[in-house]
Amino acid sequence: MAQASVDYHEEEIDEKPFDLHLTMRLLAYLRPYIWWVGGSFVLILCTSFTQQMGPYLSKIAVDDHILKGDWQGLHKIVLILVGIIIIQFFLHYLQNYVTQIIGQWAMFDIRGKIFAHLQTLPLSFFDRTPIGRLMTRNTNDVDALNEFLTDGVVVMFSNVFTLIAIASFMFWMDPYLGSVVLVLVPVMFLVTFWFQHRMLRAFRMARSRLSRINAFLQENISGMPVVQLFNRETRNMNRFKEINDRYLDANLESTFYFSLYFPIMEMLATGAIGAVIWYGGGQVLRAEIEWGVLVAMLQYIPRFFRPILEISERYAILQAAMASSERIFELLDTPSEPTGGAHKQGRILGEIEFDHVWFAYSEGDWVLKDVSFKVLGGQSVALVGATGSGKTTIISLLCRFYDIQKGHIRIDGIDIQDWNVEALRNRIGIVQQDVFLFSGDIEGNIRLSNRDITKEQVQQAAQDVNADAFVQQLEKKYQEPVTERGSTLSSGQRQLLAFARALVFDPDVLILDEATANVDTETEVWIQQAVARLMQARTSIVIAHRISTIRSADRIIVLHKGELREQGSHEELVAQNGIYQRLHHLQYASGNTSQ
Amino acid sequence: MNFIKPFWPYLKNYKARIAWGVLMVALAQVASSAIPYMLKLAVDAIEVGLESESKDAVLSTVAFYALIIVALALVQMAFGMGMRWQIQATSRYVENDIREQYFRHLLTMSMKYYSQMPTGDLMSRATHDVNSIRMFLSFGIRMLFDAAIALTLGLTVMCFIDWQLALYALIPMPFLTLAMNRVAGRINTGFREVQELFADISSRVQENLSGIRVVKAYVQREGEIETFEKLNRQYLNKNKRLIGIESIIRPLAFLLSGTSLIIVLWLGGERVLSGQISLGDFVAFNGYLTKLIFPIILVGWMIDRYQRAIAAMRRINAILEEKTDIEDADDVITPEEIRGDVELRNLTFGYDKKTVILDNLNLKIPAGSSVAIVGRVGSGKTTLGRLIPRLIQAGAGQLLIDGIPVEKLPLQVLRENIGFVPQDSFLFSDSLRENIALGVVDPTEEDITWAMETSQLLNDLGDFPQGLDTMVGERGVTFSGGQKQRTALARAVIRRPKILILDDAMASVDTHTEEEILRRLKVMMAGRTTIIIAHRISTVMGADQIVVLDGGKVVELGTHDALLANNGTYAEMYQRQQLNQELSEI
Repeated sequence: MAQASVDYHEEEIDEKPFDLHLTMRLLAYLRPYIWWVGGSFVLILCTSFTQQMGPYLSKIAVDDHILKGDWQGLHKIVLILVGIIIIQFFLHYLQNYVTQIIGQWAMFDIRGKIFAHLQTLPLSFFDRTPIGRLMTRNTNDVDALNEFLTDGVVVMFSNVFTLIAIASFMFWMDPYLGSVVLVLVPVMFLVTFWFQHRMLRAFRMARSRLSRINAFLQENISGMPVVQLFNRETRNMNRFKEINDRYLDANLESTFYFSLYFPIMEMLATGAIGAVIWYGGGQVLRAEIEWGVLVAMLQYIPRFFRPILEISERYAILQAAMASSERIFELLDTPSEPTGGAHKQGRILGEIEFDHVWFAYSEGDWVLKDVSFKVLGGQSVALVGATGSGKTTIISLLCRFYDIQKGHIRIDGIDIQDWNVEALRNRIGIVQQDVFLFSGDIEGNIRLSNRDITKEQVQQAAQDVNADAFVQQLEKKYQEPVTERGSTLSSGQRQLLAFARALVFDPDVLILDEATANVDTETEVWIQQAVARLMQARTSIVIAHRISTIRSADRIIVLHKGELREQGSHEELVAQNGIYQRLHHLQYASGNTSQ
Repeated sequence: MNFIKPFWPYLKNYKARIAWGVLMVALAQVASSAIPYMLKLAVDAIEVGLESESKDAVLSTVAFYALIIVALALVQMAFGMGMRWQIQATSRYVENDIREQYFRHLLTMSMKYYSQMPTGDLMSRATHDVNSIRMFLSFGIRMLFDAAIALTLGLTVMCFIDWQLALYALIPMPFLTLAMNRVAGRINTGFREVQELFADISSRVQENLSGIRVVKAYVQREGEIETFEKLNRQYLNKNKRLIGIESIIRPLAFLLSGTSLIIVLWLGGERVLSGQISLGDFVAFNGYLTKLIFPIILVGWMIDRYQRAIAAMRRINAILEEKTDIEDADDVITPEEIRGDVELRNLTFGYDKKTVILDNLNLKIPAGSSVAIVGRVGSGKTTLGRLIPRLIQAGAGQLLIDGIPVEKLPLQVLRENIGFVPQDSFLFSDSLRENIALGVVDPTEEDITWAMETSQLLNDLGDFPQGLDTMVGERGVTFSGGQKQRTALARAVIRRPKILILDDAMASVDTHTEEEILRRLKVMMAGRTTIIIAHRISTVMGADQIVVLDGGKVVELGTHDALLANNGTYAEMYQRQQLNQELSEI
């Protein structure tokens, strides 16, 4: 049920014709299990054959024993049959099991591969791809592949073998009577494909209309206040009726074909029985065939029905799998973010230099224009500027979430391109405005999945940033569960947790996006203290909103529309006749009493 | 017919269809049950004919039976088609009706209800549960009748031929049904476990992707992969266990049905040998058994389907029986016109008994004036905004419009006179035009243009590929936060409401545009009431009265200048915001 809400918007085109290249790539996932696959094919061969032994053995029983009054022979046949169905039981079970397990292994591999690959993709990828879509890749699409690899391929073969086995037995017994198959099977296939084609079309239409219904429902449920506020009840009800009825129409169409199809197939099989009894009966009368042949034939004919049906069903699965695999491979083929150069370093000084940096998220749309500044190790820098001035971008570039187009960024004098990306990020600690908490507990949210960090270190860090106090008041303290997005904690508390997280990783460069949210006065004081503690003895770059933070920074950088307009200490900037001076002036003119 | 009772309220509209369907099931089954008997007659005729001289006469007898078989096959087909059509179509109609009623009901439920009921839950009832019901009604009912009639007729004929052999042949059948039932139960448990783990995996992935910035910044890639790997392996193992059980179904069915056939071959063969039954009887037995195996295998499956359908029906009824807490009173007062006076009289409100969100508020907002409400996160601003259009409601008589308690006003009238712009500016995936015209019937082109101009959306129109017909949302253009808010504003102003409520509705609009909007709103809202809830001082400073809420209480009240002079919470807020304010105005 969990996946129900994921995918209502994605619809329509989820079928694709057979594609050899995709299929080969898919089958490559079975390579590690090649022996198992081979084994499962052998099992399929055996089971399709043993399954069809029954009627043939009853022919022998009838002709050689029952009609000849041979009691012992009959008992022998019965014993053989008992043996066969027992062996058949185990073989069949084994075949089902092995086939499905192979599929599960392959799914396990693909799922793991997708997840691991997602971890390496650049942020720009996540900027433009909705999470819901990625979720579908890792869940629904993978499941579609499972159906393809197990049910699709295997069942298809098993059904073909079954058909071959039945036909062989029939021809073996009597080529003339057996040739009824040559008429029956093609006719059944024709009927099946005629209907399957129409049923599938109606079915596909129904499915896309159903996802329309679901999307509409989902939207109306989430937006119910808006629906009600704008008096849309009647009109939306009518809309719903309309799409609900359209879905009904599509379903009735598929129901119609469905209602015709099965009875026709049944009629063909029964009609064939009529034909066999007439023609075969004559043969028996003329003593051209034995009784048993007729008896066995009558048992074989209804058995054609199911394999044919299943083959045609598999074709639809195959098409769906093609579309899914294409989407999955497209994701896996998305290039990873660069791992960067070879440079690694333990502690760093934290010297940062932006040297004529130009950057745009999308071509031509410059977000940073020729920005140059230098931060010495241990210095604190406040970035000041309006929304959209490029502050957040500078932070992202420092972590190398994106690559710049022109200019250089150097850290400890080494070009950021030459740094190993993970080694670089290991030295940088970042606290974002919108604190993201993982579901788990408080401790896990501070040390993340880094097991080298001890409980004591976590608690120490929490104490240092004033988070310990509120954590101690929680029922389970550091083991208190945290839900996704941390809805049980206030925004101030979440900030403090994020500070503790940054501190416990002990970075050489701290990047802080100061939160603008209004928190209560007490928390506000705690936050300010924590920020001061965090900035001690390391290079820090702060997107500052609080005047206190700005004033206490060693250097202030004023950004405006992607350009660096002013930089210097508070005193220097106030002395300049510029933006900062104007800001500062306004602050006092309006009677600033804070701090 | 007790088993059908839970579904009867929906089925009863289709009595005729069902009756026809059941009748045709019976007729089709009669025809099909006659076929093995015809085979028997044919085989018997051949057997006799082997000894007789006139082979031609025998042949024509056989041909006659063969023709009857074909005729019966045609009859079976005709009724089979009719029966499937009647019953399957009924299940589709019922599905349609249930869904319609479900949505009709949802439309009446209040915000409080939706805050407690997760969307995913409501959705899964509308999808999975409706589907379970439909599955049972289409296949379940048909198979049930089919199996019952097939069993009765088949058994009767078999007993008529040789009742002892019939009993022997059926020995494995109860085991089969029993085993299937047990397996189905275990599969259900296994399946639920798999589904639960699947949900865990999904939320794990979802979380990882939502927090990808943190994962990257703190270089947590390996740890994340490890955690995922662990879940993935658990999922694999649960699946393996499920497969271990599931894989047995078919082999088991073949084993037990095969046993029946062997018994017939063995004991039936002996009886043919000793002349107790004819070869034709033997053939007929085989025919009947083959016919019965499938329905018997399905009994377990049908029981399972039935239980699921019952559970699903219960889950849907649970929703339908829920009463809304906000609806028209019996003694509604319908005023000729709403002027827009709003008054709070000792207004106290909490979402549950423990917490108080609004604490004894008293406030008069005269028609035609504007009031701004400011305060920290959680101070009760949004709650206050929601009380006015009765999205939620406080005790009787605490909130009055034009002197009438809101709960006495017809919801329709009340809401028609209110333009509400909520915090999250929810837009529908429909065209921009439809989104703006949401709350008005057939607006003119001028109306829409005017609303877009008022909300400063008109300048953006050029950015949308199909203009007003551009689709909003995932399947169309993704609007920026500011565009969304301005669209939400446009759809509120186009109603030319007597009371306009903006709940933090311009947070993503830049100050310059905001100023422009406020200027236009002032003109438009002359003589109408405006209630602005906001964080930004720039948004609220022009209001006639500014209310500062804290902890559900009014802590300050007055004009911008008066409050600044007061040097309290408002003044503090103002100073804190100054920097951002000035920066964005450079």
